[in-house]
Amino acid sequence: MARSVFKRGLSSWLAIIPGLGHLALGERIKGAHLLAYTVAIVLLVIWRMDRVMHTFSSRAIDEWVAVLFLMGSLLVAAEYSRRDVKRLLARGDTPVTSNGPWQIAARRFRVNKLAVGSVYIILLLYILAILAPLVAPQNPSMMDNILETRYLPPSFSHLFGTDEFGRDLFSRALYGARVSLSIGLLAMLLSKTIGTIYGAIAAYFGGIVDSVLMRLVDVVIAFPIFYLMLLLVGIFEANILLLVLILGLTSWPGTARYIRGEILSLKEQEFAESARAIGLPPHLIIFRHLIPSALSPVLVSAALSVAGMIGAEAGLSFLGLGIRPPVPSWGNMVSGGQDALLVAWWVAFFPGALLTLTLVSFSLLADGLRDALDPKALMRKLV
Amino acid sequence: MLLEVKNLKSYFFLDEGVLKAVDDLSFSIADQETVALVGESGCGKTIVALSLLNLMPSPGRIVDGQMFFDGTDLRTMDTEQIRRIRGRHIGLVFQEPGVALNPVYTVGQQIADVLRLHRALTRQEAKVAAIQLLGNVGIGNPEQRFNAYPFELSGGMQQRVLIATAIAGRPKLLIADEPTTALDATVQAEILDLLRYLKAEYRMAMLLITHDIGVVAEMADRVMVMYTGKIVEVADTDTLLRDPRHPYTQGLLRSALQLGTGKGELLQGIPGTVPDFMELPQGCTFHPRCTIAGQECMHAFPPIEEFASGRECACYKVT
Amino acid sequence: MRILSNKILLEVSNLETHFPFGRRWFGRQQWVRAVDGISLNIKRGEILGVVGESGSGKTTLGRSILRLVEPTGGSVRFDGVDVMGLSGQEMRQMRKRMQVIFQDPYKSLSPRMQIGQIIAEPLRLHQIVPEADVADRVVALLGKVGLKPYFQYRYPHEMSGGQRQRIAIARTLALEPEFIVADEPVSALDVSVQAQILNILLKLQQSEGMTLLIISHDLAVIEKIANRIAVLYSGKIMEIADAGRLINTPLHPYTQALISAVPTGRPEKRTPQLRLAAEPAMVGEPVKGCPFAARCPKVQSICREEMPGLTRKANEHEVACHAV
Repeated sequence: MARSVFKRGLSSWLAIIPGLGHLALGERIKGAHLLAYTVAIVLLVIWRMDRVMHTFSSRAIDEWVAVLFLMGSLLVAAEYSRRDVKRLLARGDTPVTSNGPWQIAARRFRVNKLAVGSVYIILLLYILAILAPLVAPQNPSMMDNILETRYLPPSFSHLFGTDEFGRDLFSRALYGARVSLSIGLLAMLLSKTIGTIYGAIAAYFGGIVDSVLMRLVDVVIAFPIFYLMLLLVGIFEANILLLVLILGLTSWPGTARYIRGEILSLKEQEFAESARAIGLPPHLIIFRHLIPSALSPVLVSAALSVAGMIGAEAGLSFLGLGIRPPVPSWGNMVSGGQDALLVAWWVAFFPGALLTLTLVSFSLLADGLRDALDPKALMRKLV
Repeated sequence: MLLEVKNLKSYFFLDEGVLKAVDDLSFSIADQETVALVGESGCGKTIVALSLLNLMPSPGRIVDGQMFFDGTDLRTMDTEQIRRIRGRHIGLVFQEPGVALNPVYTVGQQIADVLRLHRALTRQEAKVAAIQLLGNVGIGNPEQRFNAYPFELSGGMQQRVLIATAIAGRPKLLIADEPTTALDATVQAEILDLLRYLKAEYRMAMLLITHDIGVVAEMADRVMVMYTGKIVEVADTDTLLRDPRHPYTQGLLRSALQLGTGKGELLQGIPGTVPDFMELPQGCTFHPRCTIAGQECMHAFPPIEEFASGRECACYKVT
Repeated sequence: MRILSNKILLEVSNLETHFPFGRRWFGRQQWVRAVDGISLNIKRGEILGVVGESGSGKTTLGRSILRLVEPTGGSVRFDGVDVMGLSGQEMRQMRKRMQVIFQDPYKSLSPRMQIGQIIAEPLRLHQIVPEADVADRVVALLGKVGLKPYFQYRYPHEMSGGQRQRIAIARTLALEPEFIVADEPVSALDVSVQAQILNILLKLQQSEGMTLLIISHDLAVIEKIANRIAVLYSGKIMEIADAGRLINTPLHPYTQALISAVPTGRPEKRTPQLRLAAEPAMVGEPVKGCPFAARCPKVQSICREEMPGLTRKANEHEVACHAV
């Protein structure tokens, strides 16, 4: 008895450092994760203290984003840790397992080691990408004494080697990650958001609204995307925003059609009628009741879609139609390394490998999501 | 004995554990006898039917027991032999005819297909036989109806078609799983009449699976009451309705709403709910809801015992 | 069981709900006449049972009265207010007074919300109680339907059919309605559970004077709980009478057939069979005369020409039939 009281008191003090509180209470997984993350961030800050300091006087957005993310995530971790420990202390010893559909899916997901691993890899890639200005050993555009530094093979000082201009490829890869990964994620978000809302509105209101909206979808699908992209890229300079818009605005129809189908059938179900019967206004019925029930396959598709977008951007940049050098993107790095393939394989290899790793991870994530969200798991009434 | 089932165990092997849908069931059906298997939803009665014909869906399988049909154990048969039993010797009628019939083929086609499966008939002969069968199950204008698609028919007619496919092979045993539950009251009466007529005409035995006591009263010679995968009482119909012994049977009969008894004050039910198969109570699975449960009921499920001629009961409190 | 007053709460006049089907560019539009001219009154505190088979229009009737489906003709007056004439906003307010319980408890609760949230939703939407009191009110409502407080943290898929139906009732009660339409409230439930739910509904009438419209295909269910019963066929009322009278002395041939069709163990006692060959009229064709004529054992030539009106045969007993 006394020991547990002591443990509880200690935990709330220890909770100041994210993770320690959880470990003291026996929540090993959460505690280990929080602690590891905190320690990594702190070490990073110490290691790169000079750059962090430099940020405050510079106006480069990149650096601000990185530093703010650093601080922000640390604060979030600390606050979450504190609140969670408080919650755990308050609930006492009886474990309450929540059994909502999302919680059940999360449990099923966790069992899938490959999927969980892919989540780690993806998170790692994204965090490294955001923190690129702090983590990258060198400025990606820095060329210095080209004759001596060009085409150096991978070594301790240049983890991925150097390219034809002597630029450190590891740094370029990190910055390239920012481009590729952010385009992938943002384009997917744009596409799924528009698609879902569009399809839901068409389905819920039906009639003329549905007809008009769906004809518009037909038009978008029929559009020759490739030529549009060539045109736009030719007119404007290809930057992240443009690519996000192009990729996002040409791929939403699929989601729209799917959501429309699902909502059409869901809105006839009795729980939707019940929502109408209590007088819920249409927008709440759509967003609170209908869309969440239709969302599962969209999540799976979203994961695959990110992979697709990243691949699409890489392909475009490879062809010279996307992000152009000197701004690094994995796609144009591979393209740049093509000519030197026999002489300096590392120039094309590492970006290519990273691309592969990312795409495979998202694929495994999609698989894991699909297995975890399988609705058959909820149905056991067959006897 | 036409059918003799001994210690049947059909389990589902799920991630969360083993679901014992049918747990050590034994019963028999004599030639031309109608036996009703009664229970509420989730008691495992449908699985009994599926087990007999080896139709259990994937994570489930028969784990133990013997099922003697006309002397041969169905479990020892290979897929080919079972397929020959299905339809030809044992017919199966499902609950929802709209779902059980193939929407892409005409009803005549479906019946003719079944006929040709069991007998060597030419297409023309099969058509004639099918039309005759349609008439036999009470469908008017059978020549015209031969070309109808399932969706063009009412629920009652669809069920008649389904019954026709089930008896096309002239089986000795007809298993009807909730054949009238999805139908209207007036149609239900007609289907029950039809089943009675066909049973006599084709001299079939019938295993009638239902939750409706009224149907049991009308159709069955003997009744078996099922709860959470086990049989808890067996008796012939009149005796069971007059003098039920197992507390669950008594509760069921009390809850059955009979017409003509007027507006009641508080209606009788059985307190509590049917337990989840994955969380069955220790001992007699009915004891938490039982009004006469005692200490001995909490350790092991009571064995089913024959305490009078033709009467069995699985309850410690019933001698 | 006594009806609290003689005041009429719901007045339905010549209600019609027709659905178009099969769109054609040429030729006449076909209509499904789900509700085809129904008039009835329900007194405050009364339970009216509506009985009919599939295709009788009973489900559409319930939904039409509540305007969950828009009627195409006729009127509904609730406590004197013309329900059909209300605007969207006004109708949403009216919903607090007229509520519904659906048939399938497995589909009527939102699968991704906790029970507590499901019950609290109408409370919050209409601000029935201040936010601080919502949690207590949810617990109280759960108690009214016989469920312990901890159920508010569960999810629908963790509960049995009977429990879900109770939750549906609790959610309906949250708005403190005066009138509830219960559409097949026990059809999807096990027999041993049906009684529990019907008891809850009965108690609502007895202790709170709730007015109920119970729709069912099961006469036995209706008989247990209704004060008066209306028999529907093909969108029209065939007979409407006090419950005891209807069951014991049914006048309309269809009612008689329905009563005799209930399996009781005495097949010999059944009245003559409805003609097997006859099918309910093909959907969409307007029926001249009485819709039941094709299957009626007492059919006369006038039945095919003219639809009989509802005539009063005795106190609280009306029949629509030429042969009576």
